[in-house]
Formats: sequence, structure tokens, C-alpha cells
Amino acid sequence: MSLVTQFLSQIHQQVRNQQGDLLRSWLQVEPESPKQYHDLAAELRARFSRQDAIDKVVEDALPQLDDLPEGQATAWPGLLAFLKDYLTYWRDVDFTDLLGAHQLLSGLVNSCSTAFAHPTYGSMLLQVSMSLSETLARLTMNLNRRPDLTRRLRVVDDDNRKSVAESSAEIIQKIFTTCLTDRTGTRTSKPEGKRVGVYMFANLVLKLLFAVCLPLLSFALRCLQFIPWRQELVVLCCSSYYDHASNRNFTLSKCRRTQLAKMIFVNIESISPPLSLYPAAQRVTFLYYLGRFNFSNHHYNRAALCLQEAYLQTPPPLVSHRCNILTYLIPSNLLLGKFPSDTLLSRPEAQSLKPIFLPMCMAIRSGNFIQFQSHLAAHETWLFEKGLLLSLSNRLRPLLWRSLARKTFILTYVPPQDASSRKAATLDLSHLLTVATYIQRRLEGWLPGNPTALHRPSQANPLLMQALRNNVQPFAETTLAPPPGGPRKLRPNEGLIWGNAMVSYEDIEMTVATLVQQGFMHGFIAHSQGRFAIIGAKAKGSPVLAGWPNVWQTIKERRYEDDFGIDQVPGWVTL
Amino acid sequence: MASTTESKPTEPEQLNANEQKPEQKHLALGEDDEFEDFPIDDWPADQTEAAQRNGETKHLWEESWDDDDTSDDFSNQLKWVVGSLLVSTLLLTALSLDFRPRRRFR
Repeated sequence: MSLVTQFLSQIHQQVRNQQGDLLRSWLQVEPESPKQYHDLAAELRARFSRQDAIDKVVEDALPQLDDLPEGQATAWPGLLAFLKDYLTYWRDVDFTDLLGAHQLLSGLVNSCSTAFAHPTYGSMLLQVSMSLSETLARLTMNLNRRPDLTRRLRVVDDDNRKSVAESSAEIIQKIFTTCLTDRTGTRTSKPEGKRVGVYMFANLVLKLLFAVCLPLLSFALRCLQFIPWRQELVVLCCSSYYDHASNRNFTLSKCRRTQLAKMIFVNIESISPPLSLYPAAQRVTFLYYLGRFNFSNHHYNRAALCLQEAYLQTPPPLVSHRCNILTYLIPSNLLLGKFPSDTLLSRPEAQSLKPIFLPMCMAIRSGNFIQFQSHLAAHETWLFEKGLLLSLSNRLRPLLWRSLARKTFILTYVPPQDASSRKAATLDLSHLLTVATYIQRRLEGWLPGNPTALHRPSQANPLLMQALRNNVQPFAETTLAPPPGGPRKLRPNEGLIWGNAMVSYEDIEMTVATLVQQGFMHGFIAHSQGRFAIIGAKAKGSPVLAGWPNVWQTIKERRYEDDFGIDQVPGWVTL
Repeated sequence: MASTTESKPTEPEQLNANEQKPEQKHLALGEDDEFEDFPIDDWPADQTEAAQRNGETKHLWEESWDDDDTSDDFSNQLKWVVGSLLVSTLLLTALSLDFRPRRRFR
């Protein structure tokens, strides 16, 4: 009896007995499969070079029966098509040709998904579908790291071009949909049948969608070094994490990836069983990707909720998983005004992240834009590749401005002599303008004019001496020396307002007004006096406490629309 | 052909074994970009932090982080800058004042 016939007879038996686990271990596709599979391939090449020969041997070995004893199953057309593709795969596959192997495997997983959709017997292919999908995902990731190969796939029609990863994700998504729409059991009962696979397949699709973004972003970063308007490209590229360059002119368009990920979460939200009914590994993986999806869409609180739960549910020995989760959890919380504690930063999983995030926290605390920008620049590549750069460089600015205004107030405020004075404590906006102008100059490379004096502030009246020496020139020239080679050209996000644009009084007034509107500063702007007046200093016991409320408390207590729950995360189904 | 032994369901002992040999390597940045598959499919909740402290995480995050220190280098720079401005303004005001005696109409 030929090897092919023996193989099919075993498969027939497993199908009859509905042994899904055995089917998985028999239907292997990896190049590392045992020697018998390679012998099978050789036999197929020698004796079954014609497709009709394969069709016949499969149909003969797996007859479709009508009368079946209780508990037994029969072959169905979808299964036969899948097995024909399986034998074709082994006959034609050349593991040295990754693109060809990917194409064959894609076809095989596609026909497996069709067979899996059979309402009665399809569920016996759950494990096979999972194992084949995992192999397809692995192969896709490998291919994705080989742009020299995937470039060959590019076609003239840019609009219809799909990346290798996208097409793989779409195939696996079909299996996910079959699992999700299976009607076995109720929504909240223990998952049975195909519903067991809902989160397994969702995670696999999400893994592909997120993994493929990285090479694109790296590619974009490399491009930026040669394009004068590179900042604009960064902004475009990062603001839509899933966007990709769809043609040679780098026009960035919304692509299918966003839609595919969104579709998965929307479908899960509508009909999936609760996440808590699934094994821990699936729960954590799903929450990790849901967190990253929300981070990419600027829903930092939702991201933090998902990632926090993923972190807490991951056992401490799994350091690399916890490190990956913290990579997004720490920035999510930073943006919400929650900084990592010493306890967290001393954990093993935080060791590689501490040098990134700790100096960032220190810069935000003191409103030190100079330190903040130089730290971002030092870690720009890593932050960019992680998809964190734009969020952190833009959306942390309100917190930096808040701290800078607070510090300026502390340094300049003189409490009234009369304790019973009813005069409101105020911050002179011209002081903030002075400080901001100084910072902008420093960002442009200006150097402190009298660095020794800076370190001796307690000396007798140095300010007056310096001012007199310079004959009352504008302060920037008295305190700073111009950079020897001229001011540094700043990219838009490197300047305090926009690149090398000088900070104006209007900028300051608008920034403070925005902070007041966001609730990060409590008071009002006395426009005619050019001051920010603090409300409620007496009640709080201090103008600083009243004028600069706690950031996280402010965000938490903001008024939201009635149907918006701050602790609700769409896509996270709870009991 | 393929092995016919069934894969055993995950035992909690497997994780305990893992726990005894915690993954000590400290990952350098850029390494291990992808969220790898977990070595096991399920583990009991009591092996996680979620079960401890009732999931309380306040010890992991600082919500009050404002910096009142004015003796650091950055604060000193700002003091200098604001101080210079104040002195400049005072001097400018002083110099622009006209101290000459005013003529009276006769």
C-alpha cells in the first residue's frame, strides 16, 4: 500500500471518530516535520503529479456516507477539498522559496477554514485550524522581515495591494468569524464547540496586524532622514498607527489594518462570550492587544485599564511578557498623570524601561522642556519603533506646561503682607513668557551667558550687577550667549511652540487658557492685567494647591457625556 | 507517522516549576519586540498579582508627583532669568523717568 493511501486511511479513521487532536498531530506542514512527510512529498511528486490523480485518491479514501452509527462522522466536500490541498501542498512546497511556501500555505489554511465552517463536523478541525494558522502567522512574520522578497509581490494597482501580513490576517480572520458565530451554548455559558477558539484566533490576527506595523515604521524613520519635511511625515505616519505608505509619493492612506482590528473588537463586543471564561494566556494576550489598539487610538485610559489587567494577570516569573506590557502601560499612565513608583521601577521587568521613563517623569515634574526634549531625542528611534514617540512628544506637553507655570509661580509669587488680604494670588503671564523664551533659546542651542553666576545664586545681588553690566538689554542677551554656529534648526515638535517660532505673549495666554479649560490649572485669566488669577486658594490652604490640581484626579472627575463610562472598554466583554 | 500521544493538559505544577527558575534575563531595548506565545495556556489566579491585594495597584503608581523643590539647577536658571527681567524692568522704568523740573506757565 502506498504511503499516500496509508496516510489517508489514518485520516479517514480519525475523521470517523472525530479525533481533532490526532488530526492536528497528523496534518503537519512544517519543514521540520518527521522524515515520513518528506517521503510522502517525494511519492506525491513521483506518482501524483497530475491534480486529478490527487483528487481521485482522496475521494476514494474518504467516502461521503449517509448512514452513520451514533457518534461517528463522515467526510464532507469541504474536508475533501482541504485534504486535496494538503497533498498538493506537500507535493509542491519548496521550503527554500518562502514566497511560494506562503502562497501554498495560504491556500491550504483558506480551504481549512471552509472545511471548518461545516455546521456539524467542522469543529473537529479546530485544533488543525489553530496549528495551521500559527504556522502561517510564523511564516508571515518571517516574510515580513524580508522586504527583498515581499517587494516582488507589489503590483501596479496600489489601491488593491495587500501586504502578505494583511492577506494572512484576513484568512485567519475567517476562522475567527466561524468560531464567533457558532451557536453552541449561550453567550455566558462555558465556551464549547468552535466558540472555544474565539480569542485564540482573534489574538493571532491581532498579532499579525501589530507585528507588521514595525517594519513599516522603521522604513518610514529611515526615509525621514532624507526628506526635508520629515516632521510632517512623522506626524502623518504616527497619528495613524496602522496607516502605511500606499504609493511612491508616500501618500499615507487609511488602510485595511485599522478596519480589520476594529472589526474584530466590534464583533467580539457584540456576540462574544466573556473574556473571563477563557484561559489566562488568551486573556492576557487579548488584553495586551486591546490595550495597544486603544493606545494607538489615543484612548489612554482604556489602554491603561486593559494593560493593567494584563500585567496583573501575568505571573511575575514571565518577565519578558510583563516587560512588553509595561512598555505601553507606563506611557498610558504617564499621559494620565500617573507615574511609575519606585516599587514598580525596581522590578526585573522594568529594568530596561527605567532609563527611558524615569528621566521623562523627572522632566515633567519640574516642567523642564530642555531635559525632556534632549531625552526624547536620545531615545527617538526606540520610541518611534514602539509607536510611542508622537503621543509622548505631543500629549505630555500640557503636563510640562502645567509644571512650568507652577514652578514659575512658586519662584515669583510674593504673598501679601496682610494675612487678611482678599486679593487673589496671581501668576504674571509675562514671567511665564520670560521663562518660556529662555527655554526656547536654550532649545535652539543658546548657552548660559554667565554659567558661573548660575551656580552662585546666593552671591550679593548678582542680578543687578549683571543687568547693569549689560546696560539694560533684553534679558535673553544678558543671560544667554548665541550659539557659535547659529541657532539650531528645530523640527516642529522640538520647539516650545512650533520649531524655531519665538514664543509670543499670545502663545502663553492661549496655553494657560487651554490648561484652565482642561482643568490642569484652576482659575481664570485676567486678560487686561496679563495675569492668571487663582480661585479658591483660601479654601485649599495654599494658592499652589488651588491653582494646580492633581492631574489624575482632574482627568477622572471630568464631566463626560452620559453614555460614556470612563471605566468601560469596548471589546472587553465582562460577565 | 506523527506521534499519536495526546498532549497532556497543562498542570499547575508546570508553572510552579517555572516559578522556581524565574526568567532572570533583563531584556535590552529592542530585543524581543513581539509578544511571544505563553509557555502554558492557563494558570491559577493565585499565582498572579490580580489575586493579591484585591487587585489594588496604588503601590505601583504615584498620583501626586508635583515638585516643590526650587534649589535644583533648572529652578536656579529660572530664578536667574526671572530675576534679570525684574531688574531690567526696574532699571528701564527708572531711566525713562524725567526728573527735570517742569516749566511753569507764566
